[in-house]
Amino acid sequence: MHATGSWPHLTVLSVLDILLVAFLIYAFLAQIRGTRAAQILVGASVAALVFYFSRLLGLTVLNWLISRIFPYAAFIVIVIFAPEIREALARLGRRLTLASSAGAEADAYDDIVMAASLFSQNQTGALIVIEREIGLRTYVESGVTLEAHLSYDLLATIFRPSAPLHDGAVIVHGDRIVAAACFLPLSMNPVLSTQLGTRHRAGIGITEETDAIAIIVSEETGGISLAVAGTMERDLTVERLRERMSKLLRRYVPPTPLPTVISDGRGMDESETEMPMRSSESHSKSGGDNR
Amino acid sequence: MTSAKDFLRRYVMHNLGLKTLSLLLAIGLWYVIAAGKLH
Repeated sequence: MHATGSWPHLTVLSVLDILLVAFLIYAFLAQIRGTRAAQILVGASVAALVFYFSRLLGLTVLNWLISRIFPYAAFIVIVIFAPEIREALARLGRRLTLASSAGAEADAYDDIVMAASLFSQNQTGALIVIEREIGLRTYVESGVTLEAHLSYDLLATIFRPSAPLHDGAVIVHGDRIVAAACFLPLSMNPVLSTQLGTRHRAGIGITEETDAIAIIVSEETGGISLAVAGTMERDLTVERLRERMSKLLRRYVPPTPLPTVISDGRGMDESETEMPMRSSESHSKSGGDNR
Repeated sequence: MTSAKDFLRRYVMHNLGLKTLSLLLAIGLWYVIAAGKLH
């Protein structure tokens, strides 16, 4: 590949080279499209254009300034894009190990669907994160380790507004509740609706950084939301949640009889549900104050 | 015929703008590197 005149000599290898690079660029652009990384990339492109024109027009000082900053650009990119890089590498690894992990199915999740239905009826705020291929150890360590068998009763108990562990996320792995009251990273996606509270942002945040699934129940509306890969489906019906979970977890979640609203004085009555969870929304542990 | 259409729609037409942009960027990059314009 030597330059002949002003246009370099094009060979079959050059074409292959261009196509491979184009594929890499496409994969990168497709990965960051719609994320804050895309906006940062636009900013970086503008800086590169300014550098080019400053050189072209002989703007010495501007050119000097940018040329001094550019050597550090790689470090800046690594720091800014750390979550995206982590996610991309994890995705790559997941694709490579897909064949070996295909048989590993998660266990019963219908308890989660039932619990979500209960929380929705009672307007109890809840955040349940289901671990998939990528480990959530960092987040597990931020909460209270339970290592308990996953059950509807346990979930209902944890998210009772008066329970000490209700404030935060529950992390589920297989048929175990690994931890409760966990801190999660908040999504910094500027496109998200301003109406979304900390719990929803935390639910989306964890799915942006990992391949986990987050089920969020709003304490204000009782709406059930499902977050996957940084996107969220809102106001799901219980049937739709079951359908989506069975698809995402690649297993059949059988329809189960839904629990009825607990209306006696000892249950999660309205006042009990509203007040403590309200405070949790504003200083929410699930919101990841640790960030 | 249907499968060919399906293939086109799924693998060629999908994100065509992004694919074109990627190809143009790759050609541009190859040009400046192969022509030795990038020091």
